[in-house]
Amino acid sequence: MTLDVLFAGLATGSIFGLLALGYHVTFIVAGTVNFSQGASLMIGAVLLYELHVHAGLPAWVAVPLVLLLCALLGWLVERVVVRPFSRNGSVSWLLSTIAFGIVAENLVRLTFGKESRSLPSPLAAEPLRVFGAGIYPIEIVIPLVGAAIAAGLWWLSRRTLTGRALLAAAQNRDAATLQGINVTHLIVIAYVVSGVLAGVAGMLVAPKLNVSAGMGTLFGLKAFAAAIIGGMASAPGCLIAGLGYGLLEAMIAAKLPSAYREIVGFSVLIAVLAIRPNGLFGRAAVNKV
Amino acid sequence: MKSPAGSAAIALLAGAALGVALAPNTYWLYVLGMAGCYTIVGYGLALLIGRAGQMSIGHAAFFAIGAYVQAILTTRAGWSFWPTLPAAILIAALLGAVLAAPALRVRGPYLAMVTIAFGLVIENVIVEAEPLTGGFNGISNIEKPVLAGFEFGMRSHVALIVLCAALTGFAYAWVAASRFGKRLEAVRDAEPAARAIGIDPVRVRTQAFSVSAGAAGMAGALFAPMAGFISPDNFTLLQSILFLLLAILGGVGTLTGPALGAIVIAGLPELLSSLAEYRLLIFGVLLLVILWLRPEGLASLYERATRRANSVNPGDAARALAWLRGGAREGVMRMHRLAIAFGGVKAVQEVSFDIAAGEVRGLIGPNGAGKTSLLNLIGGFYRADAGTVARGETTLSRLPTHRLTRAGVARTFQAAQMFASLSVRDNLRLALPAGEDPRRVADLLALVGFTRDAEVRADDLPFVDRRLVEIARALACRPDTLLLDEPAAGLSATDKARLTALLRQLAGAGLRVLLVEHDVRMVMQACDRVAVLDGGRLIADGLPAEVRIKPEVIAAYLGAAQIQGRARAQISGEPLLQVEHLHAGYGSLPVLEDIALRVRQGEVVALIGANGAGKSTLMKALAGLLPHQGSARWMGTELAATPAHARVRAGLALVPEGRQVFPELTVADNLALGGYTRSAAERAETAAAMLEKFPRLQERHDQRAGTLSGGEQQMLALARALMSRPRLLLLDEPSLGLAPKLVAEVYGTVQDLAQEGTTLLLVDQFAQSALTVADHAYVFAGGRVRMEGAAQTLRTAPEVVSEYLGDAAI
Repeated sequence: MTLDVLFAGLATGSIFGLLALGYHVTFIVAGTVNFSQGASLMIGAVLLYELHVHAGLPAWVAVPLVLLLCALLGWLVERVVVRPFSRNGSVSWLLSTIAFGIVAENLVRLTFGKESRSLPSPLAAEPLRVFGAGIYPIEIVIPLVGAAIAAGLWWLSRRTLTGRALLAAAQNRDAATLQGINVTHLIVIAYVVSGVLAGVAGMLVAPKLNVSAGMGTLFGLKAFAAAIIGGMASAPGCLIAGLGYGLLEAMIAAKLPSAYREIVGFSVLIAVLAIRPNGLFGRAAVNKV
Repeated sequence: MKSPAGSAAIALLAGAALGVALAPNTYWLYVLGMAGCYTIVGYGLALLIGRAGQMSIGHAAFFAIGAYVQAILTTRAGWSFWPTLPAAILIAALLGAVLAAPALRVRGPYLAMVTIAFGLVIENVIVEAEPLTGGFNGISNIEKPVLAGFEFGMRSHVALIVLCAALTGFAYAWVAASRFGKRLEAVRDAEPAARAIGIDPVRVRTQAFSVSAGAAGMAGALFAPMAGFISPDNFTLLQSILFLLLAILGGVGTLTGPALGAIVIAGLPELLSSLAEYRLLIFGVLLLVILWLRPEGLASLYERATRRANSVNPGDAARALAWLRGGAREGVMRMHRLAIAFGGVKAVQEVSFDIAAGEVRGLIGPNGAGKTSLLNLIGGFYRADAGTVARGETTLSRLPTHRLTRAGVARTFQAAQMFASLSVRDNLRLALPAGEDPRRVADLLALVGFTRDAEVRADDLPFVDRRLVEIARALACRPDTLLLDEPAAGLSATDKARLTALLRQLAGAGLRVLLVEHDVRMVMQACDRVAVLDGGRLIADGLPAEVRIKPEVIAAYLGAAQIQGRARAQISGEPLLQVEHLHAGYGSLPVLEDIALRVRQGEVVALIGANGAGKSTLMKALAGLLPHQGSARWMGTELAATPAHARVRAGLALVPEGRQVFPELTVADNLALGGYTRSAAERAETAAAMLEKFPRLQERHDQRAGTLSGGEQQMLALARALMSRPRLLLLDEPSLGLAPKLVAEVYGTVQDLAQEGTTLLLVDQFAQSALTVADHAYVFAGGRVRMEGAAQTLRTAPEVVSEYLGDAAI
């Protein structure tokens, strides 16, 4: 693996990892996910484009604003698209979040336009020359930001009472309720975190790729594949599998036509699930009769 | 067909035929042909989603496989159209079966993702396999069929598609009503019960997936010649989502739903052609709206389930018994040194016992003794770590459940598992051996004393009837050994007496009956011999009269820990908690009936009674984890309106049964969460006090709670609950699974709390320890309060022992 492949892979892998964490955090508390995390990523990128490029706000204003809007989006998704559809163990929420993705993507297509637009950034303009390999600064920034966020979340979940309540609710929902924890609130918080993570991923990926309505779909699916490969219940598993998926893609893309990237990646998912239905880092639950 | 569904089907078909005949141009024919292809895919998905309870967001892949097989064979290999149709169906169905292997091991979002992944793999393989598929450029000039010299034009080909779609619809109706269709529903409704009547769930689901893939393949093979040109663009993820949308939109549980959905999805964009840009937006919104307003689909608006009239064909109980006698096999069933452990916990340890033909065998033991685990080992649901099960010379252990059932071992479940959407008759029919006389159904229902209409859906049955039907269903397998897991839970005394009589009849017919039951009184009456489990071990085995006086058995039920009583002052404060006419249960299972009790400020009240009496259910209802009817007033206000988490703030804290500490969090974090409702300063102060009170927790302060011993976890659970400074502490089974020495230690702490003035409501199946510390006590049995009085008096009352182990007279 050459250095530029390594960095490209780590950058994409970090994006997968951030999205996978977003799936993970809602899954452990609520047992549901926003299947259209990719659409949330796209919305993050589009909002940044609109506020920063189009409206001309400086990045230090635009970025926090986008994060706020993405938090709001997470809240909205939970209230409107997930909660009404997650009654008594049905999987309607799965279809409703897919429908949300379709609606979001097409609303953006109608308002933002069909074409892709590039988000100019000094971080993605000129590659740095490192030992003869070309590495874009953004490819260093993305893994760093990703690592910082993962570490920050880890810290928050261990050090704040709400964070620990979240972990507790994931381990035993009834027992958490018995401590006076309102689990319904926690689920909302989890969706807000998930929305913010997707927004961060969208803003990070925007300078590297072009911004367009359809940019998120494959990202979201691959991140979900990574979350499953790693084990949905394991945060480190999600991160490692996300990075691994990114590296695998980069290596394939360096050697073969792009269709092979999808063929190999998704075949790996099917193979992993055939061998370990709970993912590589997941634990099997005992089936009680 | 006189049903609304039948009329709708005829109307749709007539409309389609008219459309084919009258369509003004190729364009409208094409739309109609598309709707036909979609219909075929839709029926396949309806089978998969509606009947089998599975899903797929990858059916565009099977559609693509059908289309490409057809196109490649006709354009590259020179085949005529006709043989390519079965070839396309076959190859798609085969690949469906292959994908089912990994796909059907997982559920929900995982299954969705596997099918999406498959779709994306196929889409990209088509792109890359250029020599065969033409890559991005696709395959063009695909010829329409020729039959006996007649070359199909657009109109005749679309007519062919409509014909195929109609045939698929009929095939769907036929399959749905067939034994296979009912098996699918059985697996969907209650998989364990399906296994227990001999159905292999993996097999029927794989078949459903494969059939559904085959239907999509057929649609693809019809689509390719109609379009004349195919490329990877026809078979994207979005196409898969549209397939799913049309199935859901029309309604997967209806006869005409898939056709209706197909017409809407194929036709709507054409009607709104000026809004082409909004097409997908409209579909997305449509999906949301239909899921929100009518998840059963559009066709459910006019299709109502028509129910067959009750066939007045009374069964003959004696004939059922004779039939069962004919299937009974000789030989003693021997369980030899069975053992199983879950994550280090030895649930069953070297248990050996036997059941003779014609014997009702009881298996009893306190909570957590391992009864159900043992039953699951014998019934094949768990695989034993060691030990064997054999009937006569035949070894039965290691057989999977569905094969064990065919070998003669049938069972019922703790929570009655019905195939909820099937009729009572179909519930039993599925269990009957193939080719058996269908009159057996009525006979068996008569035998168990089920007197209602056998055409009623199982989930419309009252609770008692579910129990009866479940037993009848197990008997329909014509077993020689029947395993019953708490069949009397929730039954009245009269119903229990009838059940006892039925079990004796079955034994009289030569069956072996293994009865796991909490109601020891009933077990003592019904059984020839009784085995007693405690802590996973067999502690007694013999005649009921022998077993009930054994000191080990009495200790296992009433507790053996030596606890010194302490003097208590007279309590005469205002009641904190006042319960009147309270009823509660789990779903349709009623557990508590007409409970009345009262807890005063500063009082220690004990709820005792055998396992299954409803004590823990009351605790859950008081804590808000279960809804209740009737009155439960907390300091004068009704509790029902307060959600569970808010009851903690109101001053009620429950230490749940089985401790339920947060295993992955540290001791310190567990304590902190106990004080979730309080300020950081108060939390720190109380936590320091708790660590002083429980020095062992101080030592383990930064350890994960899951690594603590059982006794330490119980202390932690207590301390965690005390962190909220409750006015009333609800303590559920604090001595469960603890060694006598630890029980004494836990109770020492409970006594300390009582001395400090904490008000306590204490549940313990070990009556002696609970009565030692309590001021007042209530004796529970069968979901009711049987006795109440001063704890001192109840300690020596002989009736208390009777409530646990039955009457001495038997």
